[in-house]
Amino acid sequence: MSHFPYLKYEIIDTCKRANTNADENLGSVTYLAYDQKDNKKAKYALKIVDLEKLANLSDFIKDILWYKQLNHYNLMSLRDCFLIDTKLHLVKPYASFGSCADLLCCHPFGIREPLIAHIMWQILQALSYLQDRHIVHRAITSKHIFIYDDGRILLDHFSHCISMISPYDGKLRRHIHDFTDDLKDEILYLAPEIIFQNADGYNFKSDVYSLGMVACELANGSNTYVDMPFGNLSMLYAKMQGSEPILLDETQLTDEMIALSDDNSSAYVDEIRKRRYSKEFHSFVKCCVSAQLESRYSVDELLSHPFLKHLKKISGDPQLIADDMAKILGFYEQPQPTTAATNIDRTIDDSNTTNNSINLSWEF
Amino acid sequence: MPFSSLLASRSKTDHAKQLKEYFTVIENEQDKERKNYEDAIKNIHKTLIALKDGLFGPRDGSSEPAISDVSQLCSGIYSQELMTTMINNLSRVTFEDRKEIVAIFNNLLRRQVGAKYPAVDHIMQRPGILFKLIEGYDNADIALNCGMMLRECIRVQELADIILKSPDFYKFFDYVQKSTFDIASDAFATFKDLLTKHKSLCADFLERNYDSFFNRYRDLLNSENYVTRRQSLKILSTIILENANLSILKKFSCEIDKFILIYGLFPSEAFSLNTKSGIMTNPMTTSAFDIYKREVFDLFKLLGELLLDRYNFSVMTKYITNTDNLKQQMNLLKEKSKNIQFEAFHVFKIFVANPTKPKAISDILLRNREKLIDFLTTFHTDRTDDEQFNDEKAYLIKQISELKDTKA
Repeated sequence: MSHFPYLKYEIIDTCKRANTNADENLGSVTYLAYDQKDNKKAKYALKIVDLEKLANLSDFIKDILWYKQLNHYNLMSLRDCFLIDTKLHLVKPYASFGSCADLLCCHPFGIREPLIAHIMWQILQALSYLQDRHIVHRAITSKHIFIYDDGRILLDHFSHCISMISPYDGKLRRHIHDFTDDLKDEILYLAPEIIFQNADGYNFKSDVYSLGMVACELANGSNTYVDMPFGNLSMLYAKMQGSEPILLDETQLTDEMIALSDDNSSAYVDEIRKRRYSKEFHSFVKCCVSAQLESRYSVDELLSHPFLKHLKKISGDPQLIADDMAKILGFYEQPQPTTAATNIDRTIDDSNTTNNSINLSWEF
Repeated sequence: MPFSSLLASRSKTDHAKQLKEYFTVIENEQDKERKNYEDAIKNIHKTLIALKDGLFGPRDGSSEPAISDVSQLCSGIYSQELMTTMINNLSRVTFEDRKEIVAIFNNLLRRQVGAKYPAVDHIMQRPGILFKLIEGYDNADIALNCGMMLRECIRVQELADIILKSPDFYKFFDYVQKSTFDIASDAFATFKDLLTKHKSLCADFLERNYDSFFNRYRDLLNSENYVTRRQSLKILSTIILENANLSILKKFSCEIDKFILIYGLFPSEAFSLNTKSGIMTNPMTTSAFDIYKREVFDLFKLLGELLLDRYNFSVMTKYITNTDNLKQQMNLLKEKSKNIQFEAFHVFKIFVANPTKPKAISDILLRNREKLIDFLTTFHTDRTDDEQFNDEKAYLIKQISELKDTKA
């Protein structure tokens, strides 16, 4: 256990996260911590970002301010935000199951359909909230969806959020065309119409596509377009050609797939042969990732989809959802915190006492 | 949404009038029953949604709002003084409704009727709205909402002018130093827009308020808070560098170098040629370096109108002739933060590039000549692919090494 007089939070452990980009983590370390004044000892994720490592402070701060504009049961919140020297401390609720990406690391062949239904249902609530406020998220990926031990699903990462209200004339737009370089971080999940960059632009249905990509990833165990040849070239080509991701179960298994498989993927083929997703789930995914916008469902239409019928039924009672979720999550072990307590003191000491001071005195 | 459709069929002016009435209920907080207050809060929510849908159109994007309906709605908002009322009650409404108010407010500001912006005229006649928004930074609940509306107002030059001319502007020196990180950051964004959005307005303001502004600004640069130091230095370099494009200056310096190379062989003839061209003014100056220096300055003066912005020029020249400013920037050059060092370099370079340095500035640079050359030689050597920076650094080293001792 580490203890610093200037920290309001007691650091318990270092959080080791899977599937996080190296550049996203540039200059930041995440710790598991609790508020020293809180007798319940509720856990929080304490992310320490070294602002000295950031070239542009304004953009980063703009991203943080999104947390203060959004307030929903299924959106990540920022409990605390303070600065010590050059280190910015961000305190968020701690997700004991980690992100969906972390969950897939433990379950490489995918997770169960009922859990996916819950995740889809709760993220759709968040998207509905965002849509009411004319906001497109643009970063719905497995690593930005967090699972809590109380069954709550939180959507994080608002730096790619964009308002449909035009910054130029203040009017509500039906389609937007904005594309920034940092959107490339989510390119595996981005809708084809965002990538096209044509006159038609994109809107809320692009978030639906990304959600469908996440559903496929959670079911199949990996992103449909991951590790395609020639970097992103084949992936972009496939999306341009109108390819649509599918759920891999025994109904989709073909002789060609079996013939192409080798010893490395034989276990995966066996897994595919063993499972069978409901036709409602297949339909749900098809409605999400349709390349044709007319065929793709809106958020409101998805909330009424048969795949989520059970959840819509129990949506009136949060306790029922929590109970249902607890049953499902019982199948999944909570990731055990790593015992790196001794390293924390050294890490924090190193980061806080790093000194670039120049031994130079001017003569004035 | 059936509810919005139902409300839309009614007269639009009624929405504004109703909203005003509901706000009156929550304003008279002391002498009311709890149920009335809660009902009013709920009605405010519904009416704000109806107002917003009226201005923006239905959420499903099925249609654009009718022009006549919107005009009627806007007229009602102005006649009912709803802008003032919404801002005065921002802290009393719910979290989501504050955002609705921001959206409505900002949408109104952008609305154009012919060549006029009614909301801008409305606020110009009621500057209290702006001061009330500035005050919002004192309340953590509404600070960010007020910041958003303020920045929307600052987009308009006339409204920015009102703020810059009022003593309330100096409140920002406190707001940007607040311990609450997000509020201070929002205040910095607003502060920056005030000082950089409208070039002629900002230049005029800085010229007229140079002493009061920069005396307080020095405290920001000396702040304990890293973000305050870094962000305020960034704004300063934006202001100062507005009219000192060193790359253009350097290009002409390079041309002059070639010029001097030829002249260096024939000093007396160089003198003659200069008088012929009408540039040379001081017959006592004969050395190659003096010719070079004078040439740079003359080009600076002559071409400034054409090549460089004239905004903030007098502020810049005043800033770079003050020895306290040079001392502060030289100290910031050896900050432990590399980003702060880098920003300070961009301000420091103007002191050195100034062709008409006062003796006091020259003396400081001369006293530290060797240290500066050593320091700059090893300064940020990792920026190997930043060509302009390395060019500028080499230029500064050259300028400092060629500084002349001037006798008292």
